[in-house]
This record gives sequence, C-alpha cells and structure tokens, in this order.
Amino acid sequence: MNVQDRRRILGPAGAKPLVFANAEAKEDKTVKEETQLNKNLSISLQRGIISNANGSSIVETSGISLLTSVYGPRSTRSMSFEPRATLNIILQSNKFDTSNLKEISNFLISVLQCCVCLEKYPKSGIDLFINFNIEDEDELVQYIPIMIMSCMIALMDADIEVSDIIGGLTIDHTAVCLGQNGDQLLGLWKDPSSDEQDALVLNETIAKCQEQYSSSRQQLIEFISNC
Amino acid sequence: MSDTKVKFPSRSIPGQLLCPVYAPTEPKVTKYTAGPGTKLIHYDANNLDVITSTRIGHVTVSPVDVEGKDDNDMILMQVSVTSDEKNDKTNSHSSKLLPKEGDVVLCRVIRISLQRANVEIIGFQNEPMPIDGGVGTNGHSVVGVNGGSGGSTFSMSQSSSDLGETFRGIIRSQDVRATDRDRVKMVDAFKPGDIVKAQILSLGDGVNYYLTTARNDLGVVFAKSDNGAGSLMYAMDWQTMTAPVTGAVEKRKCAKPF
Amino acid sequence: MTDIVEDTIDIHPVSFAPEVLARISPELSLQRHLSLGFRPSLKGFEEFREVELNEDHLSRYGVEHKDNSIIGSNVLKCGKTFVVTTITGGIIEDSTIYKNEENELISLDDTKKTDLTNYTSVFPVVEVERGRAGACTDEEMTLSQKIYDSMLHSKLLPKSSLKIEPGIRITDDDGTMEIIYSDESKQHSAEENSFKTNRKWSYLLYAKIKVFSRTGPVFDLCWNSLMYALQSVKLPRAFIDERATDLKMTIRTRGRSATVKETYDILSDSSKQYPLNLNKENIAFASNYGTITLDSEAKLTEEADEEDIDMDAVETILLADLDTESEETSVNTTLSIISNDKGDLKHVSILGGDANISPDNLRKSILLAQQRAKDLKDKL
Repeated sequence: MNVQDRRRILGPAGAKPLVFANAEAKEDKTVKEETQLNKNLSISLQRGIISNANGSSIVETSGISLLTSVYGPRSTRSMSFEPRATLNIILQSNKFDTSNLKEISNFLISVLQCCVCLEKYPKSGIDLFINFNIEDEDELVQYIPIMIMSCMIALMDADIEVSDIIGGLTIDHTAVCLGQNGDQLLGLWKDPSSDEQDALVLNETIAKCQEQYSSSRQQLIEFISNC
Repeated sequence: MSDTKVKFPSRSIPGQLLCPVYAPTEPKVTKYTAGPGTKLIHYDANNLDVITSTRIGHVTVSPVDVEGKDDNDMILMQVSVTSDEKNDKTNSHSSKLLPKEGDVVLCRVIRISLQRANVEIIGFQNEPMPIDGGVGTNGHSVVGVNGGSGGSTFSMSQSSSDLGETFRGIIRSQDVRATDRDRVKMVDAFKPGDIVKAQILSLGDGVNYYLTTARNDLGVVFAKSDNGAGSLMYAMDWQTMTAPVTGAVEKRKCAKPF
Repeated sequence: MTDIVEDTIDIHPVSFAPEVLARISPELSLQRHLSLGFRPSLKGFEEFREVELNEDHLSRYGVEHKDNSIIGSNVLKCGKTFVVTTITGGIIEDSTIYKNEENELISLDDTKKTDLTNYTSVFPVVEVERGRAGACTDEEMTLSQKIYDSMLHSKLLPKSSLKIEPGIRITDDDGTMEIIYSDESKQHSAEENSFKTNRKWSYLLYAKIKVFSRTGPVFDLCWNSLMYALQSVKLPRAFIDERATDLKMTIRTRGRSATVKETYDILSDSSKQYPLNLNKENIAFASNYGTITLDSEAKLTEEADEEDIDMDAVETILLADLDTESEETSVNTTLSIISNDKGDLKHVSILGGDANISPDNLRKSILLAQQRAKDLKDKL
C-alpha cells in the first residue's frame, strides 16, 4: 500500500476495505469440526479444464475450491545443466498472507518431490499454480489434503510421471501426508496455533490418518481411472 | 515367453506394483527392466527391487534384444506403460513432454551467426509440443503481452525473453550438412523465421539442445522469401527454394520433401 | 507450377498434423481453414462461442451464506475460457475524491445526469492466468485500463448509488446493541440528529477479474463477466458506532498486500444490504470482430482453372468472436464493440491492420454486436 503500484488500477489511496461487523460469529464452529470426518464424501473432482496448461484440476469441498494448473516440463532459467526437473508450487489466495502461503508451498514441494519422477525430465521445470477460488475455511492446514489431491490429479492429467499416489489428511490441526499405501510418512504439518501435543497424541493422530488414508486414496484412484 | 509367472495388469495407475525385477520362470530367469512410464523402486524392508507404474495407461511387456551378448541365464523383458488414447480428449496430450536425444523435432530459427543458428523447438515431427508454449501462455498478439514489464514477468522456471517459453537449441555450422562441413555458410542455410526439421544430437548445456540437420530428410521445411516478408517458398533442390508467385530464389538447406 | 498447393499435397509425403501446422505456421493454417469455409475452431465466420453463466456463487450474498468480503461475483464460461469476477467494496470519505462535493449535491438534478462527473467506475484488476508469477503483463494493464475507461464513459454507475447513508449503532445500558438507520425509523430522530456528522462517505467497488484457460483475446469476456457481476452486487448498510473512535481491527487490503492496522469508524452491517442501483439502460455487452483478406495462394483449390480468377478481387471476410492462436496472431484488423441490446454503442475501437474494414463489414459487425448483446442480456 505504501508503494504506489502504477501498473494496476487500485483506486484512491485513502479508501478502506469494507469491514463487516460480525454479529453472530463462530457459533457453527463445532458443527464444522464434526462434518470434517465426512468431508471425503462430498468432494467433487474435475480435470483437464484449462486449455493453456499441460494439466489441470478442480477439487471442491463444501468450503474449499481449488484450481490447480500444471505448466511444464518447460525450460528453466538456470544456465547450468540440471539432470533433474525442478518443482515449483505457487499458491494464489486472497485470504491468506504471502508468508504463510510460502511456507505451505515449500512444505508441499518437499512432499511432492517424493513422488514426482523428476529424474525423467532433465533440465526442465514443472510449475504448479494453485488458485484458491473458494476459501471459507479459516486455517491453512485444512487446505493441505485438498491441495495435495488437486496437485496429484493435475500432475496425472499432464501425464507427468509420478511414482506413487500420495494423500494427506488433517485431524486436529495437524496435516499428515502419507504415501505407499499409508506406510510412508512423507510430511507432517502442525498448525502453530494448535495446542501443544505430546508425542503420544501425535502418534495417535498419525494412526488415525493412516486408517482414513486408504479411503481417500481409493476415491482418487476411482476418479482417475474412470476418465 | 508367455510362461512368465508374473501376471501383468492390462491397465495400471501410478504407484501400482507391476513386477519384481527378477521372476523365477522356467527354464530361464526373466529379468524385467523399467521402460517408459515405469520406475524401479527398492524396498528396504524386504530388500527387493520392484518395478512400479508411474502413469495411467496400458501395460506392455516386450522382449529386449541384446545384440552380441548371449545372455544365457536370463530372458530380458522391458515393461512400459503407455498413456491411454482415451485420455487425450480435452487437451491434445502427447506422451512426449520433453525432447530426447535422437528425436526429430520442428524448430523455428530465431538468430543466425557465422558459427551457429539459434532455434526454438516448437514441436515434434508429428505431434505438437505441450500446449503451454502457445499463444495462450505466450501471446504474441497485437497487444504484446510480454513487452514492457516483461522483464519482471516470469514463470518460476523460465526467464521471459524474446523466445517465449519454448526450449532452445543450437545448430552448429558443422552440423548443417553431412558433406563439405567446413565450408557451410550459415546465411545460405537458414534465415530467421524458417521452420526447420532437425534431430537432437544431445541435451546440450543448461539452455540449449544441440541439433543437427545433416541428413537428407532434415532441413528447412517452411520458409518465406525476403526474410519472412514475402510469400511461401518451396524446395527446388536441396539447397534452393523458390517462391512461385514472385519467382524469388533463395538459398536454404532444404529437407527432402518426399 | 501453376497450382502450388496441390503440388505440395501430391508430392509432399511429408505432411503435418493439423495441430502441428497450426503451431509452425498459424497463418497458413488459418487461411486453409478459411478457404474451406470454416475457422480453425470449426466455427462459422460469424458464429460466437456459447456463453455459460454461473452467477454469484462466491459472494457472501450468494447461494450459501459465507463469511467473506465479496459483495458480488460472476463466473462466465465461454468456449474453453472462463472468467471469474469477484467484486469487493471499499469506503472512502468523499472529500478526498470529489472536491466540490457540496456544490454538486445542490445542483444534482436531471439536466446534469449526462455529465460525466456524476458517474464513476469500478477499479478493475485483470489477471490472466498463464503459468507465470510476478508483475502484471502489458495485456493485463491494457485490459484493466480499457475496462475502467469504458465503464466510466458508459455512464452505468452513478455516483449517487454509491453514497452511504450511515446508521448509528447504539449500545444500551444492558449491553445489547442496536443499529438505527434514519430512513427506517423515525422515532430515534432526536438521537439521529445529535450524531449527525458533516463527513460523507461513498462506497468504492473493486473488481478482480481472473481469466483462466485463455485461448484468444479476452477483453469482451472480462467486460461481460463484469457486467453480470455488477448486477449481482449488493451493498451492505453501513453504520457508525456511537463511540465512533479507536476501533482497532486487523483488515486485509485487496490484492497481494499485507495486513495493516487501522483506526476504523465506519462499519458494514452484515445482515442488511440492498442491491446496487445501476443505470439499467446503459448495461451493454462487448464483442469483438476481425477482418482478414483471403490469401488466394493458400487456397486448397480443387480445380486448376480457379487460378484464373482476377487477382485484384481481394476477398475480405468478417470473423466474429476471435479465438484460437492462429486467429489471434494472423488477424491484425480488429474491432471491439460494446453495445446494448438496442444498438446504442458504448464503445467502438478499430485497430487497423492490413485488411480494409469496408462500410459493409462495419455495418454487419455493429448489427451482430447488437444481436449478441441481446442474447447475452437474456442469459440473466
């Protein structure tokens, strides 16, 4: 805001965004938590909708709609020869801070690097753009499973080779990313705002996720093999 | 060969186990190698090498010819997964995402110097390149989309240049033709804007692929006279092209049109 | 060598798949398609793409109640391209934008209705998704500016409909809060007067237009989507708290900017809202056209004697709703028209190129624009 952006028409500088007085706030919070478990049932999946990207997907739940597009493998800006592809994930959201998005994107990159066959695409880059179209959930951690799912569909839609179908689940503000039928723990994201948990609780969470992982994986497999 | 004990699924999805590397078949042990669409994975737990699928598609198993070497202990087979035709409904996906060594590609000449021609690769011989190199992303329309602030507008993987987002290549003067290689004049072989059919020699450096046109069927396939301002020209022999309307004759290293 | 193209077909076993040809020589691909009577997208010359609307699913007043700050939205799908427009609001103290506010208020009558100063525009930010990050491209800047200007000059959005008549929030002794709007209740007029301030506020509208899956020129898609989105906009009632000072809260500004802290004194009512009042007769829709000269050389002729056709008779054809890479790169003469269903033109721009725009073609495109506007208007 301080630096005037002359490339965009942003309107007068003195303007203030609308602030809605929240009259009846946060009472349906508990209801939300409960529906969490059944959320897998209400996911809608689509792929191949963006024609100027190599692959794309839309994953929608009741409160989240993400549009992911895959560009590449395409040439990189690197001057030296890279034997493996580089993977980039860019998150575009109106709601969340850039710094938080950056952190999540780094987390996602490290998770996805476990499954994308980067060595098959020398000297190229694969870019994933995740657009947040509907973002009614307040915590970024809730988006992680959906983001991973949409990335996987978009990558497969682009025909980029992946060695495994990985998935993620969020329970109690902790996102767990699993691969290899749930045997492999690829990543763990704990929301800083969540309460302190000891190792025992964490282990329980992971075990719970492993149980549910197969059903979400099955859903993805059904989708991709049916179209 | 059909007596392999491994039963392959007809279709596979990424991460699906296809077979172990060694299968105890009679009379010889079969060794499978990972072809396109598959990956060799090592399981630490039971110390086993297996081949898994890496894409959605049909599984094919084909024998590998080992020339000269009489491998009397093993039958060599290659497992690969090819994408379904069915998947190509919306985007014209090609299973080829990246040019590889030996591929014949189509490229556009963008710069000529005494020693080399710089080109951008725009497609495979009979498959278009992945769509994200086209106007949709690139846009060279009347309202230029990558001028002006273009310098600071970049994709994460790619600097924005006058070349758009395609892969670039170099045809060195000694790779233009097979004979009399030292006396090649680049200006008599290519002009900027020409569409050239070329073969990939090597992956080259970080930026460029190295290409060759030293074959009869390789060379200029589309060219316009007067540095692109005139009309389409057609090959008369392997080093001249002519524009039938204006009668202009120009020199090129032409690809055999037949 | 009388018939070149036939030669290439006969003795050229080296042929290219249509997609490849479109890539390596878009112009030739286009000319060959046109000579066969249709366009690379398989549309007819004057055929438009079908438009699908997905109206207002994103805003807080949409189908499901949502707790976001979007006050109007539209998703427009046209061919493969889709445009997502979301409209958010802002509040500005009037004095900072119009200097002689008082004078204008007094003289605001019907004779002045045509004056441009009585109208305003939205502040659009167009983003065309093309797998890039970083600063906006020239195309995005041009689009935003063109939308801003066209909107202002189409006199669609009167300043008066963005004026805020703030209510007052009163906290009773027992802690319950009540918001009083002067036009709703008369009984509190005494209190109302005591809080009357000299400050005046107006809403500002920001439009964020995201284009996905771009296949051709997108100005008309962005404009049309914005038109639909504007018609779905509802403005919240705003109020000032009785203790209208020092309300600290964290707000997010539009775009990619950071969170800032502000002292806030005017708030939006989350339960009361009213639809935005537009100059309905000025709602107009955009369409684009191009003309191209048929290249006799690229023709896929069937009979050899067609070559005898008089070369001076240059044939130019009119294409409606330009799409696909080959049309965008090869059609240099373009027309952009914003018209309403009665044929009132709000904006016409003609970009000259190599092909002439004959009066005939101009007439035809204006007529088509009116037809198109009628079709699009009926979609709502």
